[in-house]
Amino acid sequence: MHMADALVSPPVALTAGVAAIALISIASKKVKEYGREDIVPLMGVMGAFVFAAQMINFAIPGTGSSGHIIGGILLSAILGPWAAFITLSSVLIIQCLIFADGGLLALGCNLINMAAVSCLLAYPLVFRPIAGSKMTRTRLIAASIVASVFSLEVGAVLVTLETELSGVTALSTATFLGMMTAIHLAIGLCEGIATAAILCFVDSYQPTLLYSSPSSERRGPKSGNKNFKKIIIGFGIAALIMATGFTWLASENPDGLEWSIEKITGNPELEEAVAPPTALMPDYDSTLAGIFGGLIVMSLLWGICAILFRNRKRKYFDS
Amino acid sequence: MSHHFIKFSDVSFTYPDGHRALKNISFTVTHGEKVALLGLNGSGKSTLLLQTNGLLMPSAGEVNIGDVPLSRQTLKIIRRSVGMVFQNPDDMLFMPTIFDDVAFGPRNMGLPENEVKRRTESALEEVGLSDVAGKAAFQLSGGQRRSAAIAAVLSMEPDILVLDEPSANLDPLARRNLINLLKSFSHTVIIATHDFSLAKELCPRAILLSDGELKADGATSEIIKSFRY
Amino acid sequence: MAGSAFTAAPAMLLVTIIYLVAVLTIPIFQPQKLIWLGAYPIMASEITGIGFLKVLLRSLWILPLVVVIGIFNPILDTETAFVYQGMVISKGWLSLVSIILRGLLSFQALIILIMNTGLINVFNSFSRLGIPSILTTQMLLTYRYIIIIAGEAIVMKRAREARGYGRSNYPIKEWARFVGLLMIRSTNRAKRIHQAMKARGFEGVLPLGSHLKWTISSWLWAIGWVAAIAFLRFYDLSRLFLQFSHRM
Repeated sequence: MHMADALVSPPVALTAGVAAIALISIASKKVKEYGREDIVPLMGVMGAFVFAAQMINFAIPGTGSSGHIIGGILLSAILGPWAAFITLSSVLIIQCLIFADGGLLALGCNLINMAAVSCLLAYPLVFRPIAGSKMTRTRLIAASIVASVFSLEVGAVLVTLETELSGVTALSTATFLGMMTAIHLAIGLCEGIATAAILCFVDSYQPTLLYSSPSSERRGPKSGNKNFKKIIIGFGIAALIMATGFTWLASENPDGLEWSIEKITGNPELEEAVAPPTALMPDYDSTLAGIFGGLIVMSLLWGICAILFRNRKRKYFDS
Repeated sequence: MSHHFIKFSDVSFTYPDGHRALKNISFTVTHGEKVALLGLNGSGKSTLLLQTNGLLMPSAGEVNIGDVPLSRQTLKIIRRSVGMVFQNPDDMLFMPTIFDDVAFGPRNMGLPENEVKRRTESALEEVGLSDVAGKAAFQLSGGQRRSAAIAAVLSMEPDILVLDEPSANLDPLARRNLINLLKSFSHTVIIATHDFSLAKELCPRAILLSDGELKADGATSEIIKSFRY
Repeated sequence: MAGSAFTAAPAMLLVTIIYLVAVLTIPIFQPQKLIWLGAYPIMASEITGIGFLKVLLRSLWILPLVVVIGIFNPILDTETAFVYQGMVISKGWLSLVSIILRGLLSFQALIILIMNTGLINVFNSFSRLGIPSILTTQMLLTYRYIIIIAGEAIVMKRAREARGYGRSNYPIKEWARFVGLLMIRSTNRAKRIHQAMKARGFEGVLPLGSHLKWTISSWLWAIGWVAAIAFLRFYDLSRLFLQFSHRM
């Protein structure tokens, strides 16, 4: 479900980014208030664990293929919704920055579609009610599966919405939506079963790990209705931001950045240097000249700098 | 803190699941002494070590570090005095670079940044890692990581050093470097170890634990000679 | 070690962010601008003493990913951009070159930032901009422990493969046991890390250093580079070059 940069236009990216930032700020405060004593190293290690877990595939019976877990519901069941949201967000951010897995522009959308939906929406609204306060194995499994399907379906709808608003896809909305929901139903089922399997395993071996589990008495309804309401409010704020943002740009030129800059500066020279994507061919003869010329000049620049600053053998961070 | 000694008075500890890990342990380690803590796995060595800086609090009895009795209120002071080097250096090196790891303790103490820098650089120099300070822990060898873990504790300028299996997983050269390093310290030192020759070389005195009880306390070579499985 | 004398962390961070925005918003069919923007990685890496060669080599790691993303463009997009000496250059090729350059340049900027300033100072600067320290701490720790936990996973994988029949994926029950065990080991590790942290005075929030100031040189660095980047982003030096070469 990682969206690539190509699918997202700058205004959509900005809106989603703002919403994601708002949620992260709220989540940070919540974790500071309600988090357990060792929440900081635990979140860090669980983030690393998610990376490792995503490297190990499980076989999908019937098909020849395999899949891996995303982990939103799993993390929430261990860390609680807010801490899980931050952890999963950090994983997505690291994947984006260091592994270039899904672009920087699409980061905001990915954070909302994957992290926020599973941890802040599916977990409290679907998982917790089904699991109940006296959780049994059956309830645990049912909660995992339904919550996972829910979060992936909602995510699919959001992806469709975001690509539509970005004006990128040529498919009709109905077709795209149909495809996405169908595919993500299957993915959701796999994710749900995988989540359930791990949670059951952990419950047999170290039940105290779970935020609240069948086999142990945990801290119980500290995570009760109070948190629940605040989660809803937090999500409501994010939704409001996204709704206003999306309406604003529903009528905008898809490539909003160039357009906005033109309007703001009103500079004719800028217009010349800026190439609107739908225009036919800006003069391309400068392109080739630019590429070759640029390479030559840059090499010269490198040579000059290397000589000029040769003595700067400074200490730097080598990791 | 006037004297760097450790005093256990009739200390007992029981884990939440009911396991009695320490039973009526009493001993005193005085200023500058180097003591080896011997015993099989499960004898209570680690549990005892964790009492020295309050990571575990005794279920009964009292622990004194210098003149300060161990309690919730005195944890901060005691943790500046007692530097603990854990068994697995990777559990101690959690920052992006070695420099940050060694600076972690002084920064937590709220010291101004130039003092942090001074202590960090001096600790790194003491263990011989000054030129790899900018690297991350995973780029270092096992022996270097062990040294980095020790530096991370030295930068807090503790009076007492507590080490858990310091020579585990070290190749002979790294082990020799470790022994030389520990020999050069003037701190009070407690080393929990299975490495008998290290114990004999570094520590004139040894304490033997078995099943949570203090079975022997005396000259290292004597205790090792009569060690029965 | 704590930030270079030349460029304090906030200045470097600001310039890097602006550079990334500049690089990533260049219209896709103008790869020549990207080359001119290469001036920043080249000069910055030399000035800070890291050396462009090192940065360039490390940035090559991103090539496979970027190529995979853009590889279909020349095939799918065959609309002609222009003709040069009888060869037809399609828009698809231009966009491929753009994507590759974008990837390389942005990665290089990040490498320079991290190598010069140190990850922890970068995160501290973020904290000063209002990004919550919990998130930055989180990323620090995750980044640090990925290698260790992934390493554990690989060891467990090998142990299993030695006894098994060498499949690359596992039936769900076995998978759950594998990953569940990995998770329990991870949480136990977290407990030990927490102990090590407490032993050195940790009280809930990671201290991230407190020394990031804006000096005159960092102001100069920031202002100078922001101006240069803005110039290179919006004005196509290629035209100048074209006129220059025509005159020759």
